Amino acid sequence: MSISKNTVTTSPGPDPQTSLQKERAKAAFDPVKMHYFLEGSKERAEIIKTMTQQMERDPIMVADASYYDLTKAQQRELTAVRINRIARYLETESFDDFQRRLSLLGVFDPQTSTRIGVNLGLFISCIRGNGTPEQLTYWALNKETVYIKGIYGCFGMTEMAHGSNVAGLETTATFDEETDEFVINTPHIGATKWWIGGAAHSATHCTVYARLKVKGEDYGVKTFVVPLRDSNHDLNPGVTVGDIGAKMGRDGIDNGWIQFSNVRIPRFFMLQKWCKVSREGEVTLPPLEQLSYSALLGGRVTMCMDSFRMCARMSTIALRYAIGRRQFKPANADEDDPTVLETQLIDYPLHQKRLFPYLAASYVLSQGALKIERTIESTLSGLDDAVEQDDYNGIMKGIDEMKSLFIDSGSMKSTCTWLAAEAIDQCRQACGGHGYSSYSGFGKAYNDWVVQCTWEGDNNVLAVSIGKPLLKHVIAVIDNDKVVKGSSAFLSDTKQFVGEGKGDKPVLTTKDDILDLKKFIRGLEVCIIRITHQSALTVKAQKGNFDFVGGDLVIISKLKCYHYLLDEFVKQTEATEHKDLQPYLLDLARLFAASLVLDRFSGTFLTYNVISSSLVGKLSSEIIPDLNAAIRPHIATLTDSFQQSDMIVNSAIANYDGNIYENYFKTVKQQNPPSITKAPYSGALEAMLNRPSLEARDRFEKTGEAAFELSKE
Amino acid sequence: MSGPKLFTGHDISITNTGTTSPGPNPALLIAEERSRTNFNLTKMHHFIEGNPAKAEQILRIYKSLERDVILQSNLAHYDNDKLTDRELTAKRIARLTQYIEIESSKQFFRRLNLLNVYDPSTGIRISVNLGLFLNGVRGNGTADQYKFWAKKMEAGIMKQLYGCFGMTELGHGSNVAGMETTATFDEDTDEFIIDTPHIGATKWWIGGAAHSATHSVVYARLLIKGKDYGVKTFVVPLRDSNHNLFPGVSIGDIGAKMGRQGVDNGWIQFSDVRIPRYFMLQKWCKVSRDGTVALPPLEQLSYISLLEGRVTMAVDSYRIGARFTTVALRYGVGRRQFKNRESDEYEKKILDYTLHQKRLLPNLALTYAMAVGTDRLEEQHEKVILDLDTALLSKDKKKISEAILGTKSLFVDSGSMKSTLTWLGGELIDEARQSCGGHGYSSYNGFGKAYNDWAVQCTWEGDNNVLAMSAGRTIMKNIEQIIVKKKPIDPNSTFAFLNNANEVISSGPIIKSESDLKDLTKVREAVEAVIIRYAAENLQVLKDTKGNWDALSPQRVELSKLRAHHYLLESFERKLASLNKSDDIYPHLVNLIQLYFTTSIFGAFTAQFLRFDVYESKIAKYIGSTFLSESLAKVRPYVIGLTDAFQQPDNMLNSVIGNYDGQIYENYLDAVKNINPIGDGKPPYVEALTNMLDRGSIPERDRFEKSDKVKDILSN
Ligand SMILES: Cc1cc2nc3c(=O)[nH]c(=O)nc-3n(C[C@H](O)[C@H](O)[C@H](O)COP(=O)(O)OP(=O)(O)OC[C@H]3O[C@@H](n4cnc5c(N)ncnc54)[C@H](O)[C@@H]3O)c2cc1C
Ligand SMILES: Cc1cc2nc3c(=O)[nH]c(=O)nc-3n(C[C@H](O)[C@H](O)[C@H](O)COP(=O)(O)OP(=O)(O)OC[C@H]3O[C@@H](n4cnc5c(N)ncnc54)[C@H](O)[C@@H]3O)c2cc1C
Repeated sequence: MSISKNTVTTSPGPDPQTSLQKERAKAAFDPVKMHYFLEGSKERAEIIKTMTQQMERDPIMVADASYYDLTKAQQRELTAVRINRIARYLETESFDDFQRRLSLLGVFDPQTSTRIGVNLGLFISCIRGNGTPEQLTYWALNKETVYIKGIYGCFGMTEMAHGSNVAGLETTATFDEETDEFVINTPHIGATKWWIGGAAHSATHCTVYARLKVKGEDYGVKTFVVPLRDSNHDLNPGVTVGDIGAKMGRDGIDNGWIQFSNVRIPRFFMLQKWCKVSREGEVTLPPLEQLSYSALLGGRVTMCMDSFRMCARMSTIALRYAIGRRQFKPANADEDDPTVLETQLIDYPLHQKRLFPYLAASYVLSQGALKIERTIESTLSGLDDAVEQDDYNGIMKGIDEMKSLFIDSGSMKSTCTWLAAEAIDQCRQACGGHGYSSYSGFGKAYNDWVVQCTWEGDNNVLAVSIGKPLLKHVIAVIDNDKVVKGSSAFLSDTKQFVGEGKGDKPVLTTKDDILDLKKFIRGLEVCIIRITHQSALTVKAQKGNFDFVGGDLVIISKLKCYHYLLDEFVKQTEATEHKDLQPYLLDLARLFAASLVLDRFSGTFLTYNVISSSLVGKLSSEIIPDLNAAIRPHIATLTDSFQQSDMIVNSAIANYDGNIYENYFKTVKQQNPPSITKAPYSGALEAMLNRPSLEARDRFEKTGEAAFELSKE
Repeated sequence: MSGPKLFTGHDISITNTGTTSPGPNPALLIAEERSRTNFNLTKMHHFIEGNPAKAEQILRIYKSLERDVILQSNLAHYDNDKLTDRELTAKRIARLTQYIEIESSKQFFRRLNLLNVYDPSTGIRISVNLGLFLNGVRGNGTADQYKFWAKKMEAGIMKQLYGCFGMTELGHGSNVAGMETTATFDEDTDEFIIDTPHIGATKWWIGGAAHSATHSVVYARLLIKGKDYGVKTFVVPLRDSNHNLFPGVSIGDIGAKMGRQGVDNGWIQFSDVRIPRYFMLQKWCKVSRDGTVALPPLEQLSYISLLEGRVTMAVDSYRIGARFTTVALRYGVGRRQFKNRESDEYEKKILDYTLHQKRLLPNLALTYAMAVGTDRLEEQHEKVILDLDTALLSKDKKKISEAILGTKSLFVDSGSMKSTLTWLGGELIDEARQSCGGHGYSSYNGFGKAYNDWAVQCTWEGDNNVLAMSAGRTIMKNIEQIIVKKKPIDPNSTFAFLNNANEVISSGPIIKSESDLKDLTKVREAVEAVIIRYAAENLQVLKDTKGNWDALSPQRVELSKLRAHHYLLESFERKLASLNKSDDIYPHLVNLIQLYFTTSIFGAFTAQFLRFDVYESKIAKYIGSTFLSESLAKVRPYVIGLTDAFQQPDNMLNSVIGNYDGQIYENYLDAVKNINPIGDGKPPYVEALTNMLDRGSIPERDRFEKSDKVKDILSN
């Protein structure tokens, strides 16, 4: 019965490869075309593929399973070496292309992309947002920072005691008129700059957020470029920097803490696009300072794209595994019939219910992420132009757009990063024990990911701040018939759906109301309107205290994001030139709507009478299972459409070839050579097992003999 | 709640360090809130742990753990790499063997469970031997076989032998009956031949196999004379007394994992390894010298050995919840962020934001509910084991069938409790981490490692979904028995509460008014009604789909969760009834249980309560707004006392921002500095950085080959 192939087996083993290939062979549409849709255009999709190929061939950029065994010190070093390498690409490609490259790198090595991001993203963005064009030119171009050359910047905003409340930061920048300098100081432990990415090892300069103090007056928090290390990479006097140490994830980033003890910088190191300090210490504060916050928008937008790619990567792993993995024979099968295989995990309705929503989410997120990327580009460049030409109307229009972008990007960043975290975790659980192996990729992905929910705008704080303007809109609609513009325009219809006789009429009553996405989106709008309205009433009753409705604001922000996503997805699906893809895309959007929105928030939808309770019952018994069944045959192709190569996916259980067990086993053996049969510390174990008896170790002092001796009178 | 006065003038004097303006003073805030505690902490602790004796025992073990230089926790361990962790774990195990030799087993296992809160790697690395291996031997072997391996060979005190548990294979986990390792009887030599036929049958994940184990309980298919008798268990030696692998045994390290890196999980392949016939565990199934197989009826009872692990994990969920609500709530009180008004002197404590309360206080309440519920589960387990042992010994049929009934209840209860609570425990750690903002991401605050170590609890020893599906199925079967077959459940079953299903099924709303929410019995009945109505609805669907259980799996999982909450609620209600209402802890417990059901039950399952008409949407709105706010407000002032009552010392918390003294920032900076010495501020790989920053220009590195001058030369 034994068979010799590459190895000898005495009975046939599992054959996950065939399962996957069979499904792939039945592809109903072209995954490459689908990829064009996902990436926005054929051109962009092609660039992504070229870059993937470049990186998987590049001996330094390429990732494999060994990545999962690195210690913190090794990760730090590898990250530095990769930055050095990628800088060479950066020197010769366009900024847009490089952004794309970073976005791709972020999928399989997020710590390297962030360690670059603190310099090229945060440091430079801060200078762009707060500095004059000349200051930007000097620090970014003359000093060659944008090529990761000459100097390395970090972003010194957060302090030990202050994160979300930027206006409350306590580092001081005191103007010394005598020497025409600012004195940067950390007054106490709470003002220690903390978490500063790049500070511990790499950075030579830092944009420091500090309170401007001139002649005893406190002008609030402004930004300053402060050199940390000299050209020999030695710390400047007065600058104390340390390593933050071990983190839950992203150990490859050298986050540090910084204390300044009266460090002096020339006055012109202050970033002064908005706020200026003259030689005599006169401070001018022009009106548009709020615009400086745009420095942080870029990061939020990037995180939406990250969320799409992460969901795509995770669903690829879990779904390929679910196709290949079999567990339990069907209930009515003859246990002894060898031709009856066990059921593929993916055919269990529960498994579908657990996983398919994240596949759907990956698709739906892709279009929202693209849209928000386009919006920030046009908004920022429009505003820059307007400011440059002193075009008042243009500026005002730009500010309106910024406000809208602030809401959209905030609700998107928080909702999508939460969703992706959940997707990683659920996909891991769906792979059972093997999901817990580092080589499957989930553990590191999760640990690296979750900080996205905290940094650059804590998700809860963001969500609350997005909910607030929406509440205000609704109040204004009710009180003054305000016409709301932008992505929240539907709030203008508030009066139709709230109040006596109107507030409790269900809008979603039949299956078709969910499956017809336009109707569903309307239902979602009504839900947002009603909960926002109810919260607005509560706030009024609480004399304007928003705090009371914090929890509701988070729900509102999430629903708002789902609205934005579905709306854009439906638009792009209608607009696509690949008409044959539409039915698949629509089913995915329907599933997203039915599961992640409706089922997840069914309590809210019911409480606000947006949906009838019989329809909620149908969701789990009929609508979601039917949608899952419709998508089921296309799973392999739908994940292939992400076009993430094995290197990007970097999971031993989810290679393209589907040869799960062989690949996984090979990886485990490669990373942990079985030829080492004893642990380096085996002595400790052996000494324990072969220890003498307790009596012997007690020197027989407690034996009957001893008792006799010691008890003698 | 205005902040305390911290200082008077503006001239700041140097204290232990020089500061040029007053810094934050979280210790004062926490101390101030601590002083509000208006109940007896010890009494509360006794309530939480179930009884004074147990609570006292626990405190004594805490003390011993924090003083033992090998067992005590250490923030620096958060920097350990895998190998260091493995070694540390081995050393701790060796240390613990000294305790096990002199302590009662109850005391030792309590010790282990407590250690488990901050060092789950050591906990499980021991449990694979003392728990899984020995329980496997006890559950499947004869009394003499158990005595031999546990006592004579001293596996019970981790001496001579170290056992591991070889069930899971690369290709099979949940489906134990589908394991493919073979044990073929060789009548000639009176031996079994253990073999791994193909890669899919490689034993995988086996804790202890990579480095420690000398023996394994192996799950393998019994093959005799060509016939397959299904999966049985065998003790197979892996390493000799010199700790060298036996011939035919191949073992490797599973390598890096998401967490629990201190455990040496391994893979094992057997290539025709021979063991004597009597190494088969044969309490239930026996093979005689001539290959005759006897399969007695009660084999199912061998599963009982798996229940201990489940019960322990439910208890773990309470303890991990206590650990991280303590940390997050202390931080929430000590941390300030944002002023309410520009004119305010101090920023607001983050725990004074309603949103923050909504994120954390329900978890505090849940932890209390878990404490009480899992204490009951622990007792239920002890009783079942005892009853069964006694009954089997007495050979009294009635007693045996009663004991089996108890086992069945426990089987389902422990399944839904293990799955529901380990899920909730994972969510709790995650939410607590997020509520500490960026600092939650620092390893020294414990969340990251705790989460990574925790997550596997949802998968091993019964995958949560698989367990929950099966518990949900039993609930449906019980309802079917009552409403279709019209046969009540045995009153001794823990599912007897379903017996009024016929009345409840269509009795309309249970919570009819806001005041009904003050009546714990009503609330429990509301949960029962949802379970009954939901199960009945599912039975209808089952009928419509002609018995397709798989199609109902998501609903079964939800039913199982509801049942676990019902169990917690019921336990708390009973325990509360045993208290004197004038007790100073009483009102706090009432507030906590109210917050618990408002959020974890009504809040989390609103749609079901509405759909099954247990209350109307008007009540739902009330619960979600006014009632919730009131419940939060009642608990908020006492969070420090309520978490102090868990009595977990700093050594257990092992989280630098969560220390009892509340010196959040000083403790944190000190730890970070100590563990990461500053040195000269340059990393070991500084050249990689400086070479990059100081590199020549592109033309230079291109050897000026693309310059205009060269262009002229090369173009001519
Ligand atoms: C790995 C890592 C890298 C980082 N890199 C950098 C960097 O390079 N440069 C830099 O400047 N910073 C960096 N940060 C800091 C990061 O930006 C902050 O952690 C983040 O802004 C959150 O602030 P915080 O941690 O102070 O949380 P806090 O603001 O203290 O919030 C704590 C908790 O309170 C809640 N909360 C706060 N305010 C409210 C409110 N008004 N209402 C309700 N709830 C509230 C929050 O939701 C949160 O759960 C980094 C952080 C990490 C973890
Ligand atoms: C760190 C670690 C240590 C371990 N230690 C040991 C050990 O010492 N000894 C040992 O023997 N084992 C050990 N295990 C293995 C563990 O017990 C298994 O991982 C567990 O039983 C789950 O099995 P599986 O991984 O094969 O998952 P599978 O059974 O393959 O399940 C995979 C996924 O499919 C789903 N699923 C399965 N069946 C169904 C169904 N019928 N319907 C719907 N969904 C289904 C599950 O919910 C799961 O999400 C360990 C595992 C880990 C991660």
